[in-house]
Amino acid sequence: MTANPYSDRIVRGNSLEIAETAIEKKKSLIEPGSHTLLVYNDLKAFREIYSQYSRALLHQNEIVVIGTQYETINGVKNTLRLAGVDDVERHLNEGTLFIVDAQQGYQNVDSRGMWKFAMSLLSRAKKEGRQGVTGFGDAGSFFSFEKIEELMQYELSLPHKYEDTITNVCSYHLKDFETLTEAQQQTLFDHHFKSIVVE
Amino acid sequence: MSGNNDENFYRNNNSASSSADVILSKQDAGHHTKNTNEGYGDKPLARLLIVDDEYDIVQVLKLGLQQNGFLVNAFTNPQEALQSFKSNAESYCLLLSDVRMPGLSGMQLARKVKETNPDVKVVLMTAFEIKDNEFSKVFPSTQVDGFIQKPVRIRELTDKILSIIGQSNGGSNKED
Repeated sequence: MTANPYSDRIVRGNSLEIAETAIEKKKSLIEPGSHTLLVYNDLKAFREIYSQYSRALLHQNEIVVIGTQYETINGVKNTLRLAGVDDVERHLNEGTLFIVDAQQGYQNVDSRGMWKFAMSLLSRAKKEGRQGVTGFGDAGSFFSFEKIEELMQYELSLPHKYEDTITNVCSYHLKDFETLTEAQQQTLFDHHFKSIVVE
Repeated sequence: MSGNNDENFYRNNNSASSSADVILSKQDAGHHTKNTNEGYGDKPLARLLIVDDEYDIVQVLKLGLQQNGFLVNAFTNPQEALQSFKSNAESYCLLLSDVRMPGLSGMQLARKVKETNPDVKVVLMTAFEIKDNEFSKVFPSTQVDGFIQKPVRIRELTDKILSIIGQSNGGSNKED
């Protein structure tokens, strides 16, 4: 992996290396309160990363939201179980884990639906003394609906870093990301606090 | 499904990763080829283009539909599928595609296929909730001929395809 986790703004590595950074909080590539970009090269890589991070974050008393595009909600549940997340159903029932259809979140009413949902959990997280809220949202629906302008507007409307304890991991399949122009890709790299590219 | 004692199921068994399931039973597999007097004979029913980004699903669909008498070209990469289609657009009768695929979605693929050959039928399949108005809102000028909710049995899929191509021209195989 080619980076010092906190100093380099674009980190490149294989999925196992990146997933392993979830284990120790001080090595985490996803800094709390950050607006992070994740570009994954295949679904297997995305599974490895979101599942290991979810396991760690749930253990650290965070609320986790996973917005899935290319994997069913049951598929995500299975992935989490196999990754060793203790009692996925309990987390779902207690409202510490949410697995949602990202397409509904981004395209149903407006493009900020996923974001609004994560924000709505923040006050509850504070009330319950939790560390914060982390959301992984797959942006794939913007591509299949050909709403690239809305995607860029949405991304640029979010800050580089949040004052609150909310962490947003905007996730892109490489095949989607590559359909953006170089200028759009660069804009996204520049706008996020950190970018993680799975190779 | 687990309680079904009558059939032996072949299922995409990538339990950690399944974005969808396709179910092929032994009974289903020979459904349209056992009896050549049914009118299908050895002549292929039609050429199908199948696209799904999950390899296991593509393989199960391909096997099942071939056993039911179709000629099948199957791809996990929608861009490659489109190239194949464009190079031989008149030979295909129907596109069967997953909806959610990175790089080129099933909806986008359907539009490009229809642009190349408006006569080809399009069936989209998804493991997510089907909202057919969702497609018409996004691509209003592209007509989709059917939607399939995954998991799906090969028999059910075969019947659906036959009914759709039957609506057009009796399932002609332009290649023959």
